[in-house]
Amino acid sequence: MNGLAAIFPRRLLAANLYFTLIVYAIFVVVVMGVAVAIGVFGDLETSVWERAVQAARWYVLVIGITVVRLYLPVYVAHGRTRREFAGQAAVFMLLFAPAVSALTALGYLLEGLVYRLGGWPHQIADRHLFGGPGQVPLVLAEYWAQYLVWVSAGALLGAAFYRLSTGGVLLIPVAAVPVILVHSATDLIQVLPIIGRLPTPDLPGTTGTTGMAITAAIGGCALVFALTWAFIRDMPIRNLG
Amino acid sequence: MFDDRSPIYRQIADKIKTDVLNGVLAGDEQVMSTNQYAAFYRINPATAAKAFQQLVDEGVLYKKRGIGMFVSPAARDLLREQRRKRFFTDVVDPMVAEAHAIGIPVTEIIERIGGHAREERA
Amino acid sequence: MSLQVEVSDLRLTYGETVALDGVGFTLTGGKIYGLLGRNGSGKTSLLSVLGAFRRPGAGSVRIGGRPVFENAAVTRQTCLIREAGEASAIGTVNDALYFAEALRSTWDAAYAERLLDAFQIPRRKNVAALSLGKRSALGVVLGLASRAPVTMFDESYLGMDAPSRYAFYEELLADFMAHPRTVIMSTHLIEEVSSLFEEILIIDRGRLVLHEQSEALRGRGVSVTGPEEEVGRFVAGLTVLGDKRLGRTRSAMVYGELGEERRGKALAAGLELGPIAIQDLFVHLTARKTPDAGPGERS
Repeated sequence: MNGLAAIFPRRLLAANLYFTLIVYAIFVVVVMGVAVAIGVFGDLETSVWERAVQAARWYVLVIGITVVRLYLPVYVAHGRTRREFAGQAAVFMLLFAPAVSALTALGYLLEGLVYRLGGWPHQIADRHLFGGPGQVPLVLAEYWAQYLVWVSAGALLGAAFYRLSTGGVLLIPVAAVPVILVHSATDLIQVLPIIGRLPTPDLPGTTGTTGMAITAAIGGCALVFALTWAFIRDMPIRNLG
Repeated sequence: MFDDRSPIYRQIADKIKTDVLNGVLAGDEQVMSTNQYAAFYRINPATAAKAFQQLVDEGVLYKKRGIGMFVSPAARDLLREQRRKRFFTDVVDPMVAEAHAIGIPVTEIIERIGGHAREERA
Repeated sequence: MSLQVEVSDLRLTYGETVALDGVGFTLTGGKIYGLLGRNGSGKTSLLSVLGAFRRPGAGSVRIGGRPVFENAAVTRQTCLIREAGEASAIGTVNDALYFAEALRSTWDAAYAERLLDAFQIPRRKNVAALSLGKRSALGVVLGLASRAPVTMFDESYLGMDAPSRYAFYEELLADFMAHPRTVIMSTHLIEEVSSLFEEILIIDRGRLVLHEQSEALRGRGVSVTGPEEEVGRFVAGLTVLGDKRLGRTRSAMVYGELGEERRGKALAAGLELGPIAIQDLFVHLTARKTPDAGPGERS
């Protein structure tokens, strides 16, 4: 039970990805249906997926919450320590964020096919790290950075509310900081113009804000993980009823 | 089944003794194993084992290694002897005390028992 | 191999509330233990600490000689089951087993399958949608199939109907005999389960009141009934747990074994001696108004 096998959250990933894929399939069908409807009955000039997929961050947040809230007690009940749980949950989240960002990028590609068949212009309306839906590496980078901070914010809030009940609301502003930082770098530069002017590492092949987004995501995630661990390390499993 | 008012192992031992006295269990007959007994009566196996140990100590049962527990050939006679000894203290004496309390003279009891004796002879 | 459970001077508080107040005992292991206590007596708190659900406030809890909390070597060997084994929200019964199998190295999947059938638990149904009785039964399945060397059931019969409860007791006994381990069951359905226990612990208001072989406990209480003055004279100096009076007749509950000599004296004085069931002993030992401190036994 050493090494990778001990820490790799195979079943946590399997259970959550299975459920996520079902939700995703339904979501894709609905969004494409809406896009086609707009294209046929009105003017379709930008990506519908771009708007719809904003719901995904909330989904990712909820997954982060449930990972702690539902699975920590199950792990402890089955003889695992909080430390073991935290390790598996962290690896799970580090893998879950890129998985959902891949699904998001795949959504753009599927949408591109639909738009091509319908002869509609496939372009984005808002500000992003990427200039168009076809720039897959930048699409992946942006959504990975966002989902990473959203899922870790979920874990922190899940832990805080499990431990403090309603007192957990105090942690909402804390969890929001990395989220705001990453979004500032990816799509909220208008809101926080200072972010755009901060000196940031210029990764090869990316813009200054991409480096900023990646740095903010990794730093924010690390910070939030550390805070979450502070709640979890001696978390009492609640009494029932 | 068993009540919670006296040690269950004693109740089990008494039950087995009664079975031996009544001939339900014959000499050299195998009795249920501790585990079978525990499962059947839904009791802790240690309790059943304690009852069996007591019966072995008293000479009612004997152990065959790796096979199980058996009724001693002499168990029935042994138990009858014990009960006979206890009969007067456990049955007759309280009866006489009760008769005394409610005002039945001992002579009347003897008379009554004499009737039973005549029936037995007839 | 059975693991010894040692608890000493254990305290646990929830804010201002003292849940456990200096509890101490040693269980040699390999037996079925009954943990009796009224609602709110601290049963769940005690088990929560033994099962590493909570960190002890003060004092120590060792299993197999090692501290329990956040100690993987120990928690691997312990299993605390409360209703549905904490799996109420993770999905279906199958999902609950899917995680149990992955997380428990000692998990016996075939046994779990057999138990699911025995308790007629629907595999594809959501755990949260099951009746309380079925959720409890699922907890029992998770506990038994964990094959954990120290398995604890916290009132695991809640909502179960009588046939299911008896099925639980029978499965527990059968599995215990086939795979001996330490089982601790908390309950207040004493009459129904006390025959399963080899030892009994009674806790009340966060303190251990008694730890005794259950068979010894069955002969431990005596009711003494007779004229008031005679009973009063007889029980002087003995531990009296409770009293009932009817006119001039008094019935006193005495804790402790009476020797042959005392029994003879009682009969001579025209007093009636009767046995007391564990249930009644429990009621009197944990009564809210106890004038004297009770037997106060520690081991």
